[in-house]
This record gives sequence, C-alpha cells and structure tokens, in this order.
Amino acid sequence: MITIIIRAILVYVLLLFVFRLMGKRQLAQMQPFEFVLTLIIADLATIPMAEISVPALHGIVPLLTLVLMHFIITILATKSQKFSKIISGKPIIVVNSKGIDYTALKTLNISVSDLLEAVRSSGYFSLEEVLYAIVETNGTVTVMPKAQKSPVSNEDLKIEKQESSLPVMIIEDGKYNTDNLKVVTKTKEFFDDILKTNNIKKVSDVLILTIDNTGSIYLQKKDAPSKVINLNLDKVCKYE
Amino acid sequence: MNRNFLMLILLIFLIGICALEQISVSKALGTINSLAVQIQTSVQNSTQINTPDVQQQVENLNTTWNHYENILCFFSNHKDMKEMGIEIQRMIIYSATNQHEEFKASLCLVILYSETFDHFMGISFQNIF
Repeated sequence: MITIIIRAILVYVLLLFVFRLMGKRQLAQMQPFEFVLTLIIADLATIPMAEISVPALHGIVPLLTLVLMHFIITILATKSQKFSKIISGKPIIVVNSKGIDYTALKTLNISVSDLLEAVRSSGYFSLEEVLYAIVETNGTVTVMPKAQKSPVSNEDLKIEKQESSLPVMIIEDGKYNTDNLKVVTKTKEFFDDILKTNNIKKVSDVLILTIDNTGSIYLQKKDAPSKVINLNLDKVCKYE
Repeated sequence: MNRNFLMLILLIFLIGICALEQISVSKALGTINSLAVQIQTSVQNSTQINTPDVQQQVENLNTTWNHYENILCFFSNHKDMKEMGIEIQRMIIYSATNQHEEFKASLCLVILYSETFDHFMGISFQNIF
C-alpha cells in the first residue's frame, strides 16, 4: 500500500511539474495537439499508480517525452507558419456579410444548430446582430457584431475618461508580497504607516491591500468591510 | 529557470535513461547467458548434476540473476522477468535431487530467456509495432 501512496504522490508532483512546463495554454483554450497531449497524460499518469509490478519509469518517461514533444512542436509552430497551419489548422469564417457560409460549415463538420449555439455563447442571440463569426483553431467561435448592434463605448458617447491602472497586490492574506513591493515606488514602511493610520496593528490582520498607479488603495481587514483610500499620488507603479 | 535549459536537461535525462537501460539489459542477459552456457558445457554428457561444482555454479547463477533483477526492475515489468527466476529456482531443486533431464530442460529455458528477453527489454525494434 505504501508503494501505491508514494507513487501517487510522485505522479501528482510530476503532473504539476509537467503542466507548469507546458505553460498556461494548457489551462485555457487548447489547440488540437495540446488536447491530444492532455488526454494521453491523464492515462499515462495512472499506469504506475494502478499496477505495482509496472516500474514507475514506465509512467514517468512517456510523460516527460510528451512534454519534450510538446515543447518542440510549440517552438516549430512559433517559427513556421506552414507548420502551425498543418498542426493547428487556420481560423475559418463561417458567417460573413452575406450570411452563413455553408461550404465552410461543411468543411468544419459543424451543423447550423452548433453554430447558433456557439454564437449564443458569445452573447448574440440572433444572426441579425452578427457581421462575422470565425471558428478559431481551438474550436471556439468568436463573433464580430454589426456596428449598430455592438455595445456602446465611451468614445461613442463622447465621454472623456481618465485611464485606469492595474492595481498591484501588496498584502495578501496577512503577508506582504515581496515581489510586488519591487514593482511600486513605495516602501514597506509606507504601507505600515497606512495600516497604522487605519488602526490596523498587525499586517497579519489584513486580508488584502492593493494600490494602483494613482495611489488609490483598496484595503480590507479580515472579517471587516473594505475601504478605498485615495492618496492622489503620481506614478506609484513601475510597470508601463 | 529558463525553459529551454529545462528541456535540454529533460532530453539528456531521457537519453541517459535509455542508455542506462540498454547497458543494464545487455550486461544482465549477457552474463546470465554465459553462466548458463558454462553450466550446460559442464553437464553436457553427465547424468550427475548434484555434484558440489554444479550446485555451486547454479547458486552463482541464482545470485547473479537476483542481483541483476533488482536493477532490471527499474526498467521492466516484474511479471515479465519472473520466468527466469522460476526456472533458476527449479534448477536448484533438480540439481539437489539429481533430476538431470528436468535440470537440462530448465537450463535450456534459462538460455532461451537470456537470448530472447531483449525483445521486450531495452531497445528493440520488434517491440515498437
């Protein structure tokens, strides 16, 4: 039994390592070769766990080989458009200004019902609203709406708005994020003073503290409501 | 750590594992084969197989196989290799009870296994398809 436990832990750690190596693409929308890889990896991982007479290497080596293959294919797909087209295919326009492209649907083996379902998932319930619909290489459908049907923007309403900035998390669950402290122009002591000013004795009492480029702070103590503090500073964050 | 560097390490590891396996398999099966052939030569025309010399050789074969089996278990399925161990144990018993026909049959099997186990161990093109 202990062998199975140790192997299960080993495989789990290895899988974590494998998915980290393959990058965030695996966790988001997958290309066909990535989908194949994910299917196989799940199966390979169970080999050393389920059967003790099989050496652990019989699960580990194929897993690592597939990671290497994935890396090589990704590099080749990045370097060569032709190779990328062979491996992943290309996006296909299935709805254009004239309507549904029936030939394209047939090529993709998609029915009209499937197309309508995908268009609804994009937030458009009628083909009247759609100017173009594209089936991407990972199988998702992206929709470009007609101008009259597209959401209204501030530009359309001629509203001037100041650019917002990306908040940086400084304190998370009671601890300072030392990596993010390097991204802002303020020091740890500055934030300690902010906490003191807001009657917070220890940083471990803080659930979250974020700051953006204009010095707007979002602060929340654990088991307490949040508050926003506007310091009206300039260029607090070092990112561009 | 740079991903390219990690991939290079991975490639070296995979090549290393393959090389290590092939070396281990060749050495193990080669050694077992030569020991078994040696025993075969010494008992060829004899009906007395319970002599101390033969028993010592069989014991040596057993010890050597146990040693190599521990290494080969990292690379091959235990179930696939157990036949060799079983036949060697049989040889020990047949030698002790002087069953020379059965002993020679088991010895032939051991030699056969040592010549054919590389079909599924190590690098084997027969095994790819």
